Amino acid sequence: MSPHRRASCAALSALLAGLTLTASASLQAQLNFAASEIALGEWPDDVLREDMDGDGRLDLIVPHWSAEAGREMLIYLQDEGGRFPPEPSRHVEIKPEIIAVALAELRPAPGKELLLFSGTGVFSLSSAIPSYTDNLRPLFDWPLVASVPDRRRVLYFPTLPDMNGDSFVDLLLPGRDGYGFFKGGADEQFALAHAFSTVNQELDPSEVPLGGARLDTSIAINEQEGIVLNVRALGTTVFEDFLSSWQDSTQTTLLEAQHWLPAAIFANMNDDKVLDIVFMNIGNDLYGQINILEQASDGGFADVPDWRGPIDTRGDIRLVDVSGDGLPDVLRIIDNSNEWTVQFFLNKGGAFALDQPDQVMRFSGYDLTLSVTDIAGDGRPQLSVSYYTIPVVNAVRTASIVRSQLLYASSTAPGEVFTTRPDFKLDENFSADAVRGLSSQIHLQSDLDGDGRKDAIALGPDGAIAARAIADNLQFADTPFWQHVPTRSVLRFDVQDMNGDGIADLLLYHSTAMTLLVSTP
Amino acid sequence: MTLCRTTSPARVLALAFLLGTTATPSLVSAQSAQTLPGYNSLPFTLPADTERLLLVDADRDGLTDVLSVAATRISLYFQRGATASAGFDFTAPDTSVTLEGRSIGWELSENYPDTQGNRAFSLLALVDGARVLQWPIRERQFAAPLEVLSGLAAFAGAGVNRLHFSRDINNDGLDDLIIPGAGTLQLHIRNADASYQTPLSVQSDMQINTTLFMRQNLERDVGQSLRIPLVALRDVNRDALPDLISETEERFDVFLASVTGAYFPQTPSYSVDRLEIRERLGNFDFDQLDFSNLTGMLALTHEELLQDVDGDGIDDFVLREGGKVSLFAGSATGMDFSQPRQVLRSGGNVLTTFLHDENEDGRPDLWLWRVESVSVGDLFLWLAIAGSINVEAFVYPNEGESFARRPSRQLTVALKFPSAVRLLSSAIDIREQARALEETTILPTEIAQMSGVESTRDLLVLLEDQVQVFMGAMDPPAVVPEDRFLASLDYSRSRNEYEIDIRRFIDEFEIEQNSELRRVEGRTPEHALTLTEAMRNGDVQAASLNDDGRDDVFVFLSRSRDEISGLLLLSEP
Repeated sequence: MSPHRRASCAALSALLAGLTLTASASLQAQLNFAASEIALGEWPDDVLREDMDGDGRLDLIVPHWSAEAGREMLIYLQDEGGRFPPEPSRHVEIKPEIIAVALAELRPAPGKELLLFSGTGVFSLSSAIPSYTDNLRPLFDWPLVASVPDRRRVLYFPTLPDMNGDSFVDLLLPGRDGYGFFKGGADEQFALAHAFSTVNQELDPSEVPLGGARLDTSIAINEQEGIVLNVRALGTTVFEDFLSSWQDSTQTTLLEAQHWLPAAIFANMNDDKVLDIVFMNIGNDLYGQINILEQASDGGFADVPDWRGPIDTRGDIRLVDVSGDGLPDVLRIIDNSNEWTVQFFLNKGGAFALDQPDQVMRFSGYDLTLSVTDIAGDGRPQLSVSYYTIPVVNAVRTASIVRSQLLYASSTAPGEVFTTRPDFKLDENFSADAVRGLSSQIHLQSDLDGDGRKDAIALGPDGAIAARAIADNLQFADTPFWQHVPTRSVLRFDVQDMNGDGIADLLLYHSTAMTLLVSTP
Repeated sequence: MTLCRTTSPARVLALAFLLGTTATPSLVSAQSAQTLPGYNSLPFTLPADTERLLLVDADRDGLTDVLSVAATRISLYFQRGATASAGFDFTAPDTSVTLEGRSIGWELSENYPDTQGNRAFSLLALVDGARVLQWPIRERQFAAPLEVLSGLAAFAGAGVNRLHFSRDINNDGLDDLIIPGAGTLQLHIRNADASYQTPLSVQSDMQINTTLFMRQNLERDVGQSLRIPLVALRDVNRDALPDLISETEERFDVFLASVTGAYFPQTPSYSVDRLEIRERLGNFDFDQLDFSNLTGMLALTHEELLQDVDGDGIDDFVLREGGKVSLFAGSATGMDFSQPRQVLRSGGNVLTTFLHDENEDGRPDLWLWRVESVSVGDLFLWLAIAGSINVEAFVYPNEGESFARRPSRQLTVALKFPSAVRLLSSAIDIREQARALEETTILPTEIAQMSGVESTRDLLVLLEDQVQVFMGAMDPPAVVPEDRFLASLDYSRSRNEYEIDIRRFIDEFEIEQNSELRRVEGRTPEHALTLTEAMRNGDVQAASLNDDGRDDVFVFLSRSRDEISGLLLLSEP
């Protein structure tokens, strides 16, 4: 961020600081928000929200790089009025050796500390102390799966879980040879409680299927045909790049290296109040395989997965609670151009029948997004589906496309998780002059007016952000109960209770800055 | 991650032959022998943890040896000349070095002396980013390691990796060291007395892709891929000394070499601050976007060219900022940025510039490319129907010291493309074609020179139990045009209108399968070699090992948890 841009953001912020936004007078609900604006760095998706000073309010942590200062975490502390300062309250230098950071309650001092991950070890650091001296503490050694830091960017681990319910955060860290589960304790103590590989060690390397053919793409120049795109299928072999010559004149790199392993995810798979570990790899039958390592009552894990099940690994495979029982289910999404097939596999006490989905749904459209939301908060969630269609007539006549929002209620009918027909459908036309409304999907995860029901919060064609109530029959209200017309275009927005008052607050992401609307009495 | 259950390739092939439905061309069976005429067959097994083989003449006897790299060990198998035990003995390596450390970057060099001061082919390793060790090779053995440099703070990735860090930067016959740091490269120039000059630190835009966690998605991996580009070294001021050009997102730095004192200065001889240029041009802001002219965003772009314009053998500097092109004159001592020699301004949306001799007078001319305005409405329209964008090139001829004030020629390239919907469906078609390949056996093939006739290219095919050789089956490689872009347009000086039709690419797109094999379909191989064990996911690769004009052939048969097995077909000199 340039000094010039930061100055202009600061000026606008100063203006906003004196301003308390109130919902439009024509609207029904009276919501008051304190508005603040801060400059966004290069990585808006990496802005973290945590309580860094222990006052119970979430602060903003913005990663930043400059040629002069290198990598920093800029911390903006929220004040009791729900406002954020235009300039960072704290600067935390990130030393060149650090690859990633995480935030966790580690020390007795109020607020969260930083966990710093290098390629070989983990350290803690308080952001309240403006120096590494008498602050940085080595915690334990761990060969992280990534060994080289990025010069400009700091990676992060998301909010760290307490996996065993002892009120201390624990760590599930990918390493060079597999994952390590570290139990957290008092006084910043972490102990390696379990190490495991997400690669199936039982498979002989020669048995591991190599997947489809490799494609060798080249663009050839042909005097008769001009550019000729040539894509050639190469055989799969475990000996790819195995043999080479020392003096290869085509060498263009100092170093090329990579190391990857299947990701492990923590989740409570069997309703025993502690988190388990789930990962996917290739099974002994050469099929895809989901593995569950259940955490025992003593906090330990078995050497081999407690449950395994074969699954076709084509498509996106996610852990999402679709049934509302608090346990993650398996969602598999397979796309074929604009045809989508979604399979639901319900969690049956930490096991799945992966050969037979509990429900299959099909959709037709582009850029399908799925989410599950419990609009009434009654444990019977709804499926939200959004996609785009491009009717040729619309495109030619009015240069517009259609965004469809569908809601499916949960169902108790046999063979159904959700109703087979949408209980609500909204088709919106977006033409070229309404492109601002396309930047973000309708948000259905938050209760803005505090009535206990989720609301539909969306950007309108004019770029205004508005909230509508959702009725019992899942229909959106015709008119919004709240609307805000931002002074800058909103590229995306997020909703989160930032000050602990139980009312959702809004974070509006602009091109170079973000506006925070924090509810006030 | 493998997508679905797979079947043994051999089984697929056999079944396909029986059914006659395979996409694999049918091969004529051949009378098979235990070896190929003129070749010795050397079976080998290698330790299962062998990660790669490198071909190198480590004992400088003119015969290529095999260096094997394992998880913690580097070994050499020397090739013996015309003796009773000619060839290789793969039962055990002739010499090995165990590499201990969490991070080892290794390289080979012939430009380091051994303890007696004699140049010796050596293995070098950057160990744990802290020190560089050298193992000279004496009498076909790795000698005890020598410490070349210590006290370093480097990042060379975890594990054992080839690191091209030993290189003669200043053309003095001594290898220097390029040590990767956190986003930087430290250049250590070696003096004749084996000491090193004060290291020069230059920034490097490493390509790092790291994923550390997944929230929900089970099919993804975590890990890191890393690519560190080599430094660019070339003489830019006609003093016959390689100069250093360092480009990052923020800076364009040139370090001019010097024969006296330190080879490179500690600060750049001249620089362009790309951050400052971007600050001046303005950063992208959605609220400043002109929806009726999205390509107007090109006004925020810039590019830098370091190339000799005036023909004095010294590189000059062409800086494009939006539609403004400035030419700065280079000299033997640097670049005069105080006053541009020339400034050209172009209206419209300037896409790019490059230097290329258009009028065939031996001097590079300036080509300035502009693209027409594209609106949001156009984009919406192109979602459903095909479109076209005109890109125009204006050629400013080189007049010696600078370019002509006005372009001498204008070319138009019409870029025609299908609708986004069509593109998407085509992408799916391509994906389906690729997926269908899973059901097709792609046989390993290699093009080699087996006969010793230089112009002849032969085809080797690796079947489950046989290697087949088709002599003279392949055409000589096509000659690559010097200027591929202009050649792709079928460019000529007499024509100013061109077209690139992306629709044609899509219509004609097809993934070639077993394309080499199709050339020998129905043909009986000249030679066939029976394999003593079945090939599983193997490969065949050719290399010249004994400088007799004929390629030698590595046949890799299988890799298991116990060993790697294969066969070397070594030509008889």
